[in-house]
Amino acid sequence: MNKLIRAEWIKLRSVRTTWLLAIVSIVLAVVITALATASVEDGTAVAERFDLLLTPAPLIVRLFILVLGILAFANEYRYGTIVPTLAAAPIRNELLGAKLVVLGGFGLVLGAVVTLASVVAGVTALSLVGQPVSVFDGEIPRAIAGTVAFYGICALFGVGAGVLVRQPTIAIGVVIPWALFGERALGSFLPNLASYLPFTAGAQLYAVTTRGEPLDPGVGAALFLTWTALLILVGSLLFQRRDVS
Amino acid sequence: MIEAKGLSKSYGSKVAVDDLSFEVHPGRVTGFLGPNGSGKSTTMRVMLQLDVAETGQTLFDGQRYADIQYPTRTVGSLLEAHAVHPKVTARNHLRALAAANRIPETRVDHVFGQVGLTDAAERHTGGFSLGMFQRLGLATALLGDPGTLILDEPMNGLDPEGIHWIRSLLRELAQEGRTVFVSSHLLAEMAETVDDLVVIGRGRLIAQSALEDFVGQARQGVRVRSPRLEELTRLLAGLGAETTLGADGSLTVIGAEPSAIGDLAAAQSIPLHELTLVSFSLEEAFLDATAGSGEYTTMTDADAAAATEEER
Repeated sequence: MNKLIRAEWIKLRSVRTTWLLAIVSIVLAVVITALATASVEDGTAVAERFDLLLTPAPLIVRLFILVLGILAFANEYRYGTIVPTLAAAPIRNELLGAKLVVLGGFGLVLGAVVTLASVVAGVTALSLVGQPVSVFDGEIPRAIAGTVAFYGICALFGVGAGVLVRQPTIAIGVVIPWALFGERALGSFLPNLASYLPFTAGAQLYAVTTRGEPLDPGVGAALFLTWTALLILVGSLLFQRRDVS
Repeated sequence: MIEAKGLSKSYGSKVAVDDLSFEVHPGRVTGFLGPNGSGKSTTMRVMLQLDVAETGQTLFDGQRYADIQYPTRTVGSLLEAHAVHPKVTARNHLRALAAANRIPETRVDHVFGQVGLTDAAERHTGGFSLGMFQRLGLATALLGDPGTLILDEPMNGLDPEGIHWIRSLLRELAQEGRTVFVSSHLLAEMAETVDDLVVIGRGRLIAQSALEDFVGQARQGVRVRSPRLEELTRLLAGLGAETTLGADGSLTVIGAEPSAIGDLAAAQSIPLHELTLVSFSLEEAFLDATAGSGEYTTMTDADAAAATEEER
């Protein structure tokens, strides 16, 4: 599978879209975090201050990382490159595995850069308004690591959606609204259910305080991973049986 | 050597390939011929396990495609010339495909030279012409220096010079001992190039033979001119021969030897102005063999062309 990982890494880095989405993710994360810290009031507890700093960026940045994941397969179908790709890698689960490794890895690294940039921006902004925080307090290191993991899983979720749906416009048109407001909209009808949906559960990864959610970070992470694995499993089963044309 | 055994493939209720078996031998160029829509591309996709066959299998020197450890080093294929991300350079496109089968990067430059794309290697493929896409597709097929090549309509969209170039390339590859399997819906563009033919229509095998045998099997006719053609036509019908009146006033007779026609005419004192044995051209042999097997046989040429466009 190493050879396929190398091939997928060449593909990912040779399209400009990859770097465009990465740069937009980083810039947006910094801007959103700096703006969010402006709403921190005097006397807010440190944990809550950090929550305000850490939670807004992933709401938006996840969308870009999801798109990166989706395009890994969907663009191959869109441009027909899936034909030479599968001719070079006829064992389909190996190809799926290589894309998961490359996109998951890229999601983690990009997620780490995004998180580092926004934490630095947020901490600086807070100290400028006289609300200094230490990143080593309490749950904060765990939440920072969780943010990075969340981005990595988002990339995998995108790959699963892409292999399942194949058309980029449809995959993006379904996944993005769902991740942006679909779960919250569903939650307003079925409040008990909403916490168990993928992105709401996954949000516990980067939450410093529980914010009234019933799941603790570990369970939230496990649920998000399970949803992602299910999506990939269904995608893989169909991918095995489907014609390329 | 390629052995296709009992391949069948349907899309919904439409049968695209129907119990198709054939063999392709090394050291020869084998033309895969059939009208548009006869199932050539589907057959090739099924051979490479890109589409899943309902029945049958294809063996490449005894191995199924997906069981070959480095498939593109054994079987090179060009199925869709346009299958490139438009914002990726030709070089990066090939680099990724080379990496996937542990093909050294030096091969990338080598095949660019081989197909004459060296100058375009760093360009995004979005601006490529149809001919450049075909050359890039051929470069992809040749990348792993494979012993077997499967090429779907590689001459499509090439200018006469490009067609000439592909013909010599195919001959060269076969002379090096490779197995070359190349499809076309135009027999004329293959006639000078191929050694063997596999002819299909409506997904079924119509003929598999060496080129000479295929032409030899084709029916021969006799061209006849006479001032009393009507009378002669009636007499020939009595012999059970098939006659067609040509636009130039000649009669083409199938199913009677020239001697029999001459004797018949002499017995009735019908003067003959011409009595010539004609063998049909390769193109006619092909049309004869695939008659009624195309998808668009009842359409006009314009309709068929439009339908072909839609297929793409």
